[in-house]
Amino acid sequence: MKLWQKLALTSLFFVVLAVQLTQFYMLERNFESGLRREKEQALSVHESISASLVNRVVYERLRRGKFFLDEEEIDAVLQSASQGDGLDTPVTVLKDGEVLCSADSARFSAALAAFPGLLQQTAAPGTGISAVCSGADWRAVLLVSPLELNVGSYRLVTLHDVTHIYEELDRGLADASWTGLLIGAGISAALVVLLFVLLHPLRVSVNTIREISGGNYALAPKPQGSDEFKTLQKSINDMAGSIREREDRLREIADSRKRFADAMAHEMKTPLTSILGFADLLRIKRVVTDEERRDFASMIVDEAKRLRGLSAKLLQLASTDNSQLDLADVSVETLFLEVQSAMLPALVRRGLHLETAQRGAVIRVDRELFLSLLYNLVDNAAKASPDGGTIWLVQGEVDGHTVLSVIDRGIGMKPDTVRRATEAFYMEDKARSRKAGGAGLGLSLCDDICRRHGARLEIRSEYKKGTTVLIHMDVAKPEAAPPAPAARNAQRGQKRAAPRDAGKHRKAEGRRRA
Amino acid sequence: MDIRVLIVEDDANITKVLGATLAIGGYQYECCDDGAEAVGRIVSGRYDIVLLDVMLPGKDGFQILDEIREAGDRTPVIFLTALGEVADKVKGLRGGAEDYVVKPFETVELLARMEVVLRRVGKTERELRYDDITVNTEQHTVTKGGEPVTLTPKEYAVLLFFMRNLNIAITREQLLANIWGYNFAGESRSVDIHVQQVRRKLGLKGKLITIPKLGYRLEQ
Repeated sequence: MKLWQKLALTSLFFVVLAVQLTQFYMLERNFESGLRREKEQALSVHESISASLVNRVVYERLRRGKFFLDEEEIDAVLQSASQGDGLDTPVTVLKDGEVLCSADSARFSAALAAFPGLLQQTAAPGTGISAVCSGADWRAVLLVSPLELNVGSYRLVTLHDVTHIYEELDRGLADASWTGLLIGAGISAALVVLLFVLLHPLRVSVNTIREISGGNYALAPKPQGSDEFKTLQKSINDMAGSIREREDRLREIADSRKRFADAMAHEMKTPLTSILGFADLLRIKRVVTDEERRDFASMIVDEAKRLRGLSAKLLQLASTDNSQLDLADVSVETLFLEVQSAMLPALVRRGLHLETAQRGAVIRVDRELFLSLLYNLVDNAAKASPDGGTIWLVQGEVDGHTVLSVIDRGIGMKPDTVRRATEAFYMEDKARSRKAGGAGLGLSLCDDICRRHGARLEIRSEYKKGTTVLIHMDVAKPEAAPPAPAARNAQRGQKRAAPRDAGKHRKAEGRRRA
Repeated sequence: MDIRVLIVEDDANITKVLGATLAIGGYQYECCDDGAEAVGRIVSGRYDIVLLDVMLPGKDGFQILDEIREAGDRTPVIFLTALGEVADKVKGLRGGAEDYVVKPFETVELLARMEVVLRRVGKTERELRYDDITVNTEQHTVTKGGEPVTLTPKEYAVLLFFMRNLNIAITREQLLANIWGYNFAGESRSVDIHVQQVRRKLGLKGKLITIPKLGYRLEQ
């Protein structure tokens, strides 16, 4: 059963119950007070009848001029008075436990049946019976009191009719059942509509969740309804957002892996295709001219060199990713000197100049890895520069961070190239890059090294004007991510590897024995 | 029948390899290293078959194929791909390529694939001649000096393979792969026996020569 149905039914039950109880309570109160009023009225009527009967006896005595009337005379007076029409209410008069006279014998006998002690009650002054007795279609207040006549023991019995009050109560009860049901139904209908409207946001949320489980994260309905529902919908939207974000990130990683794998397959297989093709031609051709032989062989050599360069870069890339950084404080001056001494011979051959300027900063880096970063960047700058050009290697400071830059006035790059420059295997001009020995991995490698050092690589370039590559140091925490265990074991000294290896040997031995 | 081939490949050395390979297969060829340009040239209908590299700068091979098929051109296309994954193969063939060759490939393999594709679209010679030997590829009959020669189906296939690859050294593995099927696990002994039978029946001694450590070559 749905929540709104449950709520509606429960509410219906309690509303009807409350309405009915209230009505019953009110009816009961009305009835009680009506009955009390009637009883008071019955008492006053009874008293007045009692007084009038006594007056008649007194009047009869005075009329006859007697000091006392005997019992027969009194009986006669009372009988005539009770039968007469001078009284509002029919009365019954008892004498010594016997009915003297009754104008209301049918109801009196019913009352007598209900109160058998009625006749035996002694007619002591001040005592009386007050009760409600009932017949088939009537109810009346029964009042009994002694008549003060000094002679004999007379008692007056009146039955004051209160049937209408009981009838009113019955009618009221019957009406109450119906009106209660009607009011309850009305309120419930209103409740159902209200609940349906109020619970609408819940259905929206459920729908959203269903869509999310179906893989659609784009649906993000505006939170609406009461605060709880708003919070719920907002949380769902947040969840969908973060799932989508994570999924996007995973897909991006998968995509970039696939791109990398595709690009690598392409880069590996292109030289291989030439090598295999030319070698195969040399093998299977019946006649190979000297020119063809030279041509094919030199292309095989070129392509093999290209593969050599590519595999070296790939190895470097793999070890950059996996090796633990050996961080140490190194002065920029030392680094620059090392770059100079290592690169100078190659630069001089092309008539290039390398100028350095630094402010004596000390940076915390993995010396070997960082040097290879600088070599790569200077090498790039050299490739881009015209013969006889100058390359600058500068250390400065921006916002308190050390910044190293490699500047050239070479061919520069177009904006699109700058954007994709750090992508693995990206080469703007493949033919030219390959001639220069490039594999399209240099800047990708530099970017990796920077990232692992918590530095950021920035490339500013203007086509045909030159390029500046900036290394912003310490913009993030150096990456201390643990590399793949296999690589770590291979790279680290034997100290750490030894216990593990011992364990492995033991396991292997165990297996052999088994 | 002159078969004109368009090579769409951006790597200069591979283009050279392909050119030399096609030359020994007796094909005419032109080269193109730009995707956008390739579409126009293929659609012009000047070529009998296209060798199409998948990874090209600007427009990749799949896009080029889509475009030429959309333009209503039915020139058979063989993909040259470094992507060895099955998904890519299916993508290539579904897109309307006739076949694909995975880089790196051997010369004979490429020529055999092209042969198959050209035969499928009916662009191969119906009659092949070598000296006084004539092979009718429609009726599968062989005559030498006007006299019919009886060959088993395998012998016929071996003869045809050599005649289609004149002056090219063929390895036993290549014969096995192309005639017995790639999955044939038989010994290369049976290749030798078939080659000997063909040599004997058609009097090819001294022409269908054995090359030590390599295979055989039908020389002209």
